[in-house]
Amino acid sequence: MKCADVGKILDAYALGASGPGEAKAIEEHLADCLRCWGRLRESQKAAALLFLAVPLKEPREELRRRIMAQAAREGHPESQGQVE
Amino acid sequence: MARLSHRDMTAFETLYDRYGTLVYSVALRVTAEPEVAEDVAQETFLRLWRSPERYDPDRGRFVTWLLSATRNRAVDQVRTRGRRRKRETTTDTPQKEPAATQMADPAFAAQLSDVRHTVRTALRDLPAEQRQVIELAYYDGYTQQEIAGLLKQPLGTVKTRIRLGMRKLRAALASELKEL
Repeated sequence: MKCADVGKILDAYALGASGPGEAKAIEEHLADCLRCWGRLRESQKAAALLFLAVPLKEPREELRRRIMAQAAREGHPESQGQVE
Repeated sequence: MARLSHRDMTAFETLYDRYGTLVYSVALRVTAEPEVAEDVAQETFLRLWRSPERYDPDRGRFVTWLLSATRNRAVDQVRTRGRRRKRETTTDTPQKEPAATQMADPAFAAQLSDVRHTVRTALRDLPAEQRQVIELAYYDGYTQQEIAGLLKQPLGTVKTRIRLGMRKLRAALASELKEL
């Protein structure tokens, strides 16, 4: 695939919307093309910014308690072996 | 982040207070189910707690990295569990949002609010058909092929709309992107 062709489908790839075949072709091209790699990063950054636009909703306080309790359990030296 | 690698619980709490609402909101936007969104948010934070080195500062700002990771996990959940109901769109009239001062980290919330405004405006200013395909792809996790089916449009049309829409977004967000 040529740079010009990849350029046309990089945005969809950055959005996670490429089909498997197209994604594979892009990845093969990116492995050898620094220029398209740079373009992809620009697309990915724009895509990531889109998440700052979501409507904000506060989670329940319960979620914080759950996460902290689990982190405290896993953070204990004796359980270190169980974490990934 | 450096303190996280030493399993500093206070650092982890600070991180949650700063990003918890955003992470949960992204997960909720994608999954549309509060319980699933909570699970996604929990897993996102715990993975960070377990392996903070997953975040590589050379690859961009922490917040965008964290939200992309949240999005990908949420999309995986939606694909595994099947889609439940129609999601609201991002550019719907905002419902009651927590004011900046109500978020757990007010200073950070205030700083974020300008960027949020710019991004929301950029999205809202897109032609509706371009905004729609971008939202279906990124927020709802559909592939171009699926979007073409949903909208009963040729695949080429969907591809063109994504490309044109993203080009406009990049232009509208150029100053924000420089800081990433």
